[in-house]
Amino acid sequence: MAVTDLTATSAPRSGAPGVLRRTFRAPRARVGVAVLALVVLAAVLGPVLSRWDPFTSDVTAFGRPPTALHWFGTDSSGRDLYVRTLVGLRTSLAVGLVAGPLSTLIAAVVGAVGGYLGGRVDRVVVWGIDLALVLPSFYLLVLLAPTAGRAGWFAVALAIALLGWMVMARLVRAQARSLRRRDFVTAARFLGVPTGAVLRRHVLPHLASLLVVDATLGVAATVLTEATLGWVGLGLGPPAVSLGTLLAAGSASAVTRPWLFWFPAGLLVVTVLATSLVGDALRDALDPTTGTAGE
Amino acid sequence: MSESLLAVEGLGVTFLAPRGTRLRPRAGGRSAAAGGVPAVRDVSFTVGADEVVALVGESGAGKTTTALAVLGLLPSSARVRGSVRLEGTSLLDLSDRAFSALRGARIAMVFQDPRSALPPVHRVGALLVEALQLHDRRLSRAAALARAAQLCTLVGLPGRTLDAYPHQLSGGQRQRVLVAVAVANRPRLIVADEPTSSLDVTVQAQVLEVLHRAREAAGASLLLITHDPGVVAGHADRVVVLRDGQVVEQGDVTTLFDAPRQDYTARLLRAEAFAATRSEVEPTGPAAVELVDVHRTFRSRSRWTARAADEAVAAMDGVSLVVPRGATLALVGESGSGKTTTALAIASLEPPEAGTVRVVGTDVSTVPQLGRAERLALRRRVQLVFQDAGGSLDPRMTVRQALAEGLRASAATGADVAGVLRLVGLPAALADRYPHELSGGQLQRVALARALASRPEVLVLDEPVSALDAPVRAELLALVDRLRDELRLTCVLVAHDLGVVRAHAELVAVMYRGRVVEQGPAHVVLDDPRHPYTRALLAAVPVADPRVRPAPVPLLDDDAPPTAGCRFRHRCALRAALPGDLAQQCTQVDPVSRRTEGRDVACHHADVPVQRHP
Repeated sequence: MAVTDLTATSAPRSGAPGVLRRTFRAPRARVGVAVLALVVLAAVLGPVLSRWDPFTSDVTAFGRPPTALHWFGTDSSGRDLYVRTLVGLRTSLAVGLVAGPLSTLIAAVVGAVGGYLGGRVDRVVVWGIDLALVLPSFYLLVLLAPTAGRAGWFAVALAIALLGWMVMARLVRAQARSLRRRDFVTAARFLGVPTGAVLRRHVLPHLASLLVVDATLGVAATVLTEATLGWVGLGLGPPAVSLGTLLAAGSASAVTRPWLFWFPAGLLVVTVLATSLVGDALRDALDPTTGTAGE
Repeated sequence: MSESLLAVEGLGVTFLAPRGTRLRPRAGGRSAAAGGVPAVRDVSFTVGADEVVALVGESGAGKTTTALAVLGLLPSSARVRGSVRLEGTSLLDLSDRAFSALRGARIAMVFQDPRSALPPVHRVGALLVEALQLHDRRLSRAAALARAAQLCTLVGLPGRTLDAYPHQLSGGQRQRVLVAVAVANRPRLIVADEPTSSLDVTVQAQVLEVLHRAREAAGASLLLITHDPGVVAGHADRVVVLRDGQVVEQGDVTTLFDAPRQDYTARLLRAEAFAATRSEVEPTGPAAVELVDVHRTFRSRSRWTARAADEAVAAMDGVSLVVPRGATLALVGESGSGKTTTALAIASLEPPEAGTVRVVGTDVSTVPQLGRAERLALRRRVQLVFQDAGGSLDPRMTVRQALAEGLRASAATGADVAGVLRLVGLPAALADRYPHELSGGQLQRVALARALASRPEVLVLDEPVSALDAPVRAELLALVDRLRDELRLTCVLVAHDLGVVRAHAELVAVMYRGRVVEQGPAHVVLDDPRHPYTRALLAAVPVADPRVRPAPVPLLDDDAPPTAGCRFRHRCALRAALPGDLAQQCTQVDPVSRRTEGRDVACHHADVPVQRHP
């Protein structure tokens, strides 16, 4: 009794400030955020600092290694790799930042509505999730990607989001189902709080931790997926660049002109790692069961 | 007193706060000292050979922490001072491995919650055999099984229990298994932490009887943690009273009951006032709540077999009730009798499976056809207070937000958060606290305030005080009584404490397996019970007087309940005493409720006089 009292006082897992404080107590979260801030800053401001633009060739320098003039070197057409990499990073980040949260949003809405309402609605939701799950999503993506790639980065992000929300939706649905049986949700219903407000006020806030983590980790996963698509030649079509298309172009000459591969690859790894670090730290801060939360 | 078996001296336990966690001062006022929170401070007591010592105190007093210290089961965040000696061995110096050899062999434990204390994947027999072989390597499997069978007999379980899995047993049976495990190796000391508080009163008497027998058979001493004065009076030789981690008083059980030195002890051990009956007059008037032949069935449908009907449990099997306006009806019965389902049938405003539910004059089956505004207006008039107040409040919402939700949802005007808090006797300063920062009594008051925010006419209370300590319980019930009169509420009170029923309700309905077996004015039913089940319930209530030792209880086997004839007959003491032809009637005919001596009873033989104990 006294023991349970103590754990109750030591776990005020309610306010957002507490979560942020716990998150940033973990060193890897600080590293992650710092690196991510640098990466975003580089993507936004980096291209401005250079006098080159990503599409024009420097006819005096074809396939040169890094120099004072071309910081990351140039490709075989003489285009500046520094500018191209950072512009590509912009696209990759944009795809990630749109698709990650978007798939989480779809999962949250579908899962919460199905799980909370139950009955017929739930059956339709589960049926829909299961149907979407049995679709071979990567192959579908491969089929969709060329069309989406021509349409621009937003279409690619949309395609990735639409094919990646199902597993999370199942999790959200299960959580919403168990929340529906909790006394405080029943209490709200018996008070006459409308269904929409119950979902917004009592159900979704309790899933917030799950959703925030999923959205963050989703950013990293999407950046990777986009890069994979680009690497197999199915991502954004030229002239648009992303880390994926740069990798695809650079991998062919990874041995002869290593800078063409290693600069985009390195930036990709750094971005994904930093985002994952932040996501992991958030999850640990929000989830008392991972064990590292209070330590 | 004989030489002490267990000697606890100057025991102190401090829980270190996890690094970086800010400990807030508890609502009760226990402030977090630097370097951790002391849960137990300087506790000393002894347990003699063959002695039963009760450890009592309000929640948070350090009872469980003390017990865990004796058992060496404190979490790693605990820092322990002082000494604990068992037959001269200092327990606190033992390594974990050495302590493990001792636990189960010389010290045994009976846990509070039998549901979670048994591993679900092992048969009971395997569990007992493991307990025996762990401490006696040379014991053969056959010999261990034979001993396990003996243990089953000792705790009054049939031999086939050995082949059963925990989920196939009832709560009482599981607790008996735990008692059997505890005494398996003839320990010197048994520590029982609230062994019966999660059980029904009828089952509780049996488990206490079993614990008593098994303890005597093993020749062990017992350290009994409890909050029930009746249990203390009936079973303990000596009592140690804890408050805020300190011993405030200890002594002989009779002395403590007769002349407690501390007011705190007196409040803890004082039983619910049995004499004061709320009303001797049967209330009449238009019905605020009316149930006619209501049914509710729960089906646990398996995904693999379509045999849903086999698994159907009738939680309400033709329940009819009438609560006149302004009256309080108490629903009593053991768990699984359908009390809570009945309460929810009234409060949920959902159409019943079969039968009619009429609340404040509206037939509930018409609710789906009502407009949004009308439905909300009806909702506002019927409110529910949950058993677990903490669970019924959103942990992410402050008291203010929770109450505002109650006020807004009901569109009540003229009431504000501070006003509603004042109504339930809470300071307005509490409004910005979160639920985890409140004590149990405060939480239940907030829950009550939220229910009252919409100015309801009917208030359904589902065991509102069962989680509270005795003094807080009395305060809260007095508050409910006062509010009921001030606001002219009609109440439906689910309770298992018959003392509470007598003092706070005019009407009582006794439920057994989904049916109302006896119903009428509280004083009529409780003073002269006519249904054998009501009699059993009343007889099982422990008496808070150490001079009245409980009479031996027959150990009844409560599985395989009948599905035809009288549902209660396999547990019926009356039927056992009837001549053959009358008993035959119980087997063949399902009794219908009929008017007898001012109340409705569903028993064929309600008129048969019984010999009452003086």
